[in-house]
Amino acid sequence: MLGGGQRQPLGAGPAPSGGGPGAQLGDAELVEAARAGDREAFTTLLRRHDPAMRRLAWRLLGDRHAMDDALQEAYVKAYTALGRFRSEARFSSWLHRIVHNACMDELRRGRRRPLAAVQPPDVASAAPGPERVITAAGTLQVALGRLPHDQRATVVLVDGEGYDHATAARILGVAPGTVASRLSRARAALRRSIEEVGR
Amino acid sequence: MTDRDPRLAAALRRLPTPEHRPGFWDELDDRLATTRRRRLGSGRRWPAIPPRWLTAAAALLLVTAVTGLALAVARGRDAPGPRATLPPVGSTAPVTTAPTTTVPGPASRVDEARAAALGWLEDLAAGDLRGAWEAMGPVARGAWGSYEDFAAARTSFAEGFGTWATAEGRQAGVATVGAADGTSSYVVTVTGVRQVEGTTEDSAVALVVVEGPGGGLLVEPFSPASAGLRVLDPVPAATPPAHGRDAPVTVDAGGLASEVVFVIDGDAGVVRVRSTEPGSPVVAYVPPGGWAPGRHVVTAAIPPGAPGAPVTATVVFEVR
Repeated sequence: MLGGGQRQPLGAGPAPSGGGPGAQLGDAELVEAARAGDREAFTTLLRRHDPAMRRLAWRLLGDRHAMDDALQEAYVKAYTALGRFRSEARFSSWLHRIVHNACMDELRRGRRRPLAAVQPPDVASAAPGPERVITAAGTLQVALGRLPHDQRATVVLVDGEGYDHATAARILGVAPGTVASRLSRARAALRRSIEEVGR
Repeated sequence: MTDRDPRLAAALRRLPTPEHRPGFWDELDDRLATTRRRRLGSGRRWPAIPPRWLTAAAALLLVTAVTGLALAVARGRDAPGPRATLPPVGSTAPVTTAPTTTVPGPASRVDEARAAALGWLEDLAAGDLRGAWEAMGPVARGAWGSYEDFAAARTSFAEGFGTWATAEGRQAGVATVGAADGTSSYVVTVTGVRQVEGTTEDSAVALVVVEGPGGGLLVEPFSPASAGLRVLDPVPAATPPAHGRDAPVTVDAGGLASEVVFVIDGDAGVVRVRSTEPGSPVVAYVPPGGWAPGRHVVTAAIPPGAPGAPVTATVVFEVR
């Protein structure tokens, strides 16, 4: 359960938007090219992992402008810090850590709406499917918005993106045991919400 | 073996996520290009720099430092800070190496500014949102719009700014800087080790304190333009990053102002740095002779008067 192996998160696969030159290259090759000064290689990497980064930033910030601002900051920081990226690590988890920190900075600046006020987006138009699923999604979005952001980040990384506890702990800068306890509390709250809708 | 809850995972994946705003990638590409140009000119090792540029930059830094020191001696320590500016080295980030000047205000006023800033942080930690609101200046209040909106962020204040109230080894240095209208304003730099989200951060925060009506002091911790000033290098982090002895602290003023005030180590000195390349938002500073070994806290500030100001950005770093 707490193994230190670094799996590719399920949500971090190649994105449709990453179809430019270099799209067939792996992360390691693109990182090397970016380190050598190939900015396009770096952008290809970002586009590949951007959907997962957007999911984390959106769930944490609940505001599209704040999400974009945080991701701009994170991506520039990643570019400037690329020389310190250790190639034995996964690029996706390294980038997730930077994005998470940028979102925390955004939250601390107080330039976003308070957590309790995060409203669900227009789920009905954005997530086609059975009415029951749409309702559940809307409820889950609200329930996520009510979680403390440390718990929210944990559940998004582990349950949403598929990271194991050890990797999520490195991204969040906490001990694996902290991930486990946050996850336990967050899942309990979210399950309650989902079950309420299912009755 | 997965740590996932499959049912929750499935539900999470059904949640929609918005796309980026139009122009997001173009904006990012511009910023990355600016970052690359700045790095090329600042003598950093990555991305690769032609060796001849490094040699030229080192020579120019040496000449500039010597010139700056000579000017400082000639004009006296209390004179307004002379600026010696390095000619650009194929970049948009000229490096200023002017010696800092200490500009003390009246001792009592400096103490009052420190008390105002720390009092505001402690109000937030204690949940006294009304007290914190009344201690804020017009720019900060305007950024929130109403007390109700401000007070609704109670939780995030307690977890953010409020954690400074209990920071270990907390210290607060005060530097006096001017405002466009000729009044004094103060930059209070608070440093310490605090607990944030279960992690330990050795960090700093800077608050601008301004003269209010009736002789009081008001804290200006928020601005709608706060994102317009940021430290590019060294990259702020929870653990102070290592920084080169001769490496400049570089900020992006985002077009808010052409002059940035650098406050060094809380109250050790103040230097005004102007970008010498018209239109460039990037401003860089390194002290003559480089940074002394040890821990440094540098705050970049745009004092009251400029549109959107005051704003600050702070970075803590280690020089070995």
